[in-house]
Amino acid sequence: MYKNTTFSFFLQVFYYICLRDCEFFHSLTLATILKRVKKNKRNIFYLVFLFRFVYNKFFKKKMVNTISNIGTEISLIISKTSSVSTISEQERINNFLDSINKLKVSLNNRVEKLKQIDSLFAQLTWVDIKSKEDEELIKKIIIDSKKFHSKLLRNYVNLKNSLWQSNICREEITCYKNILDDIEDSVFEIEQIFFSLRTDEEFNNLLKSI
Amino acid sequence: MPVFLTEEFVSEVSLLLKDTSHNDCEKEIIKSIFNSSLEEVRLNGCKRLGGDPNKSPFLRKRIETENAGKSSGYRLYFWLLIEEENIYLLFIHPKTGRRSSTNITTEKQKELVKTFTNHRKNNLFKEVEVQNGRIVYCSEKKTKDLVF
Repeated sequence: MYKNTTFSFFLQVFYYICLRDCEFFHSLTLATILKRVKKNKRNIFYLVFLFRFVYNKFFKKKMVNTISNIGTEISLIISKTSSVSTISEQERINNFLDSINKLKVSLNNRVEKLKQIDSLFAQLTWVDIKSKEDEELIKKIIIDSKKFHSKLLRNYVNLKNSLWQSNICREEITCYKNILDDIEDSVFEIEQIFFSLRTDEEFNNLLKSI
Repeated sequence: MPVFLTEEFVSEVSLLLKDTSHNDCEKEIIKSIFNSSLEEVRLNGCKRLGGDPNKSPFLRKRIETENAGKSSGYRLYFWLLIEEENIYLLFIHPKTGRRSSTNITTEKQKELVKTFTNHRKNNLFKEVEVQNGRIVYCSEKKTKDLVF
């Protein structure tokens, strides 16, 4: 592309030179031209010289200019490229503290959501299974919750491994672990209440007698 | 809100209080049962094991401790008679520590139902209240007897 640009530039220069000469010759009659040519052969030499000069210059300059332009551009980039400014110590500390704060907020939000789930587990025990669909639904809830708990437990282990030693978010990580234990406990309780205790005939008979 | 206890409950808490890791047990019971309304007791994280949810639910409550979360606190088993607004504390166990145990078995829970029925029938429950931050037996006496 660069070469093409240079080439077309010289083509244009050459074209304008020729055009100017044509205009000049065009303004004269053929006889005058011949006369002038005869009178001054130097003009022809001049024209030929001019043509050859421009032609040679066109090819030669194309190479020279390409290298020159590349060189100029390189020089320009070098001269204009200043070194990338480093982050100051204070900025680095601020960024670090910001990310810790974000993590704290994220962990606190997660704990709140898990508390909500735990509270829903408690609410679930206040209803009874009335149909096969209810039973299937509770079974599904238990399976999903166990998977969810395992996933979050892995997340907790990763967090603890990466942050505990550095004393980062210890309080939040502990809260996270506590609520995960609560969830695990709740899932176990739900399973026990619905599928062990409430299906026990003796237990139900005892309740009826009260 | 009248609170009643069984002898088994008293002996369990007495044993727990001897242990330094569970010496907050009485304080936590007061906080979560005696200092709360019936609705707060019923709705605040209680799981119904059985019984009529609107009249006499048999419940399990997680009691959170100050040092740790709910998961490592206590498990309290009690009966609630909503109309009378009576609470019958039947059993407690810590989740962690030397005297800890995992959640009690179905057999133990059935035993608690039997205990409740038997104690109600034979009027064996002891009514208690809180005085100066301690659980005491209800009586006409000026200086009431400490339960634990």
